[in-house]
Formats: sequence, C-alpha cells, structure tokens
Amino acid sequence: MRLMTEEIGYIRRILDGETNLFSFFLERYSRPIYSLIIQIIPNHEDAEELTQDTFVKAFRKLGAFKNDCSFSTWLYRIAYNTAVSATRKRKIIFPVLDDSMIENIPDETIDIFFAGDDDEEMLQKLEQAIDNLNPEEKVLITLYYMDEKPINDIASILGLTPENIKVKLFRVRRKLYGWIKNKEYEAG
Amino acid sequence: MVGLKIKSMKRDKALIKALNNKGKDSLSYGFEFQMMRRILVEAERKKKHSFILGLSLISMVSVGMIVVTIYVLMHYVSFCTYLTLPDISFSTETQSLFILYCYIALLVLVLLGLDAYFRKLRHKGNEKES
Repeated sequence: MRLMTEEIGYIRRILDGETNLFSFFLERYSRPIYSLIIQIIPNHEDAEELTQDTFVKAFRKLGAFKNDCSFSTWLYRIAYNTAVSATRKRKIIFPVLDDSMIENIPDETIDIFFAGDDDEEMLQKLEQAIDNLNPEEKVLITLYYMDEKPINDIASILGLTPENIKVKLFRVRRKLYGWIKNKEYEAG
Repeated sequence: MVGLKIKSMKRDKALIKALNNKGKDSLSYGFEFQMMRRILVEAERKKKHSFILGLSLISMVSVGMIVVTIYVLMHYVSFCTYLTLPDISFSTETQSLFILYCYIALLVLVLLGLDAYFRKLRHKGNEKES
C-alpha cells in the first residue's frame, strides 16, 4: 500500500513536468519487465527493444493510468500486450498438444515430477517444453513462479478471472509434463 | 480443493529453476541511461504536441467567436461598417507618428523575444545542473 502511494506520488510529479523522475520506474521495473518479455520472445535484442517500447508506451499513457490497480500490474499488462503483438507480427506459430494425452495423468505424478530440481537433463527438457507454450501460458508461469505475483494480479494482467488463472496453471503443468513425456516416447 | 492445489504448486522447484535458467540474459549496460534519453525526447515531443493542440484549439475558438460576432452584428444589430468606421486619411504628421508607434511596437517585441530567449537559456542551465 505504501509502495502504491509512493508510486502515485511519482506519477503525479512526472505528469506535472518532472520527467527525470521516470528513472525511478526504470530502475525498479526494467529488469522484471525484460525477464517477462524474454520468456515470450527468446531473443536478447528483440526483447530489449520491446522492453524499451513498453516503457515508452507507459510514459505516453501515464495520464490515463487509473488507480484501480498497482502501477506494476498496469506496466506488466502493457509489456504482455506489446510482446504478444510482436509474436503476431513475426507470425510465430506455437505447437499444439492433443488434450486427450494429458487428461488422464494423476495430479500426484505431476506434483512429484516438478518437485525435484536436481536432474539437469530433465531441466533441459523442461526448458524446451516451455518454449512450446503459447505467450499467455509463458507469462502465466513466469508471473506465478518467478515474480511470485498473486493470482488476482495475474488475472488483472491477462484480463482473465482468478478462477480461470488457476485452471490454466493446472493445465500448463499438465501440458509441460505431456510435452516431455511425448518427446521421451518419440526418442524411444 | 483448487486453493490447496495452488499452494502445492508453489513447490514446483523444477519449473522455478527452468524459468530462471531461461531468463539468465540481462539488459545491456547503460540500458536505463539510453531509455531515459528516449523518455526525455518523448517528453519534449509530448510538450510540443500539446502546445500545437492548444494553439489549434485557441485559434479555432477565436475564429469561431469572430465568425459569431460578425454574424450577430450583421444580422441582429444591423451593424453597418460604412456608417460606423470613419475614413482614414494619412497626412505627413500622422505618418511620422505611425512610424514612431511601429518603432516602439517593434522594440517591445524584440525585448519580449530576448526575455523569452534568456529565460529558456536559464531554465536549460538549471535543468543541466540538477
């Protein structure tokens, strides 16, 4: 709450002409925004350019920022939309996994599978599987696991309901498990 | 049920590690400095844009008011320019007075221009110092 009040104060001063204060937001959010975008666009130069675009857009629309959510949620939303537009422009196609393959996997199997982080080979496979996810799913797990954002904030960023987010998180885990097992099966 | 499952998902260490591995790249050195320069350019552009917009609005409103005034004078007050405005004739005496007034007006404009210019310079200097 204190952070929100502080940020609103900065926004007012920036809108009043103290442009230099925008560096406060750059210092605080450039790294997490870049981390989010690089998950969707896995190219350093492109991700950095999109990070720049995100901040320029945020600066342009600063006057339109309403206090109905935190500044970070608002900024993440801009970053997400910017990155998704970039994937559309570049016509990146994401593979689809047959739903029937993942429906019958018990929850416990998936829980056990993701609980360990010692198997380097498995981690590599997991990284490759993450690449197969669509932008929304990538953002979902990045915000939930890396940035540790609350479900309500993620819902606000992605424009979905909290219940929808929870269901999607379950599905993403299943999907990732499915991709890895499918690849192992194909490899023989 | 969903709440409990969500809590257990926080223990997905493999996912956290894989995401961290994927996001190891970091921003270029001087990113924030470059970004701040871009923001300052954007701020200048925004200022110019709002100035032009304001000027256009004022011009439009002024033209509108002039048009309305002329319309009202012509159609409702029966204003006649021929009867109201006196004939203007220039004698040598009024001509020299006219030149003097023009000279004073020009001088005032130059001084105002210089004032604005030096104010801008001082403002820029203050910005650099801060």
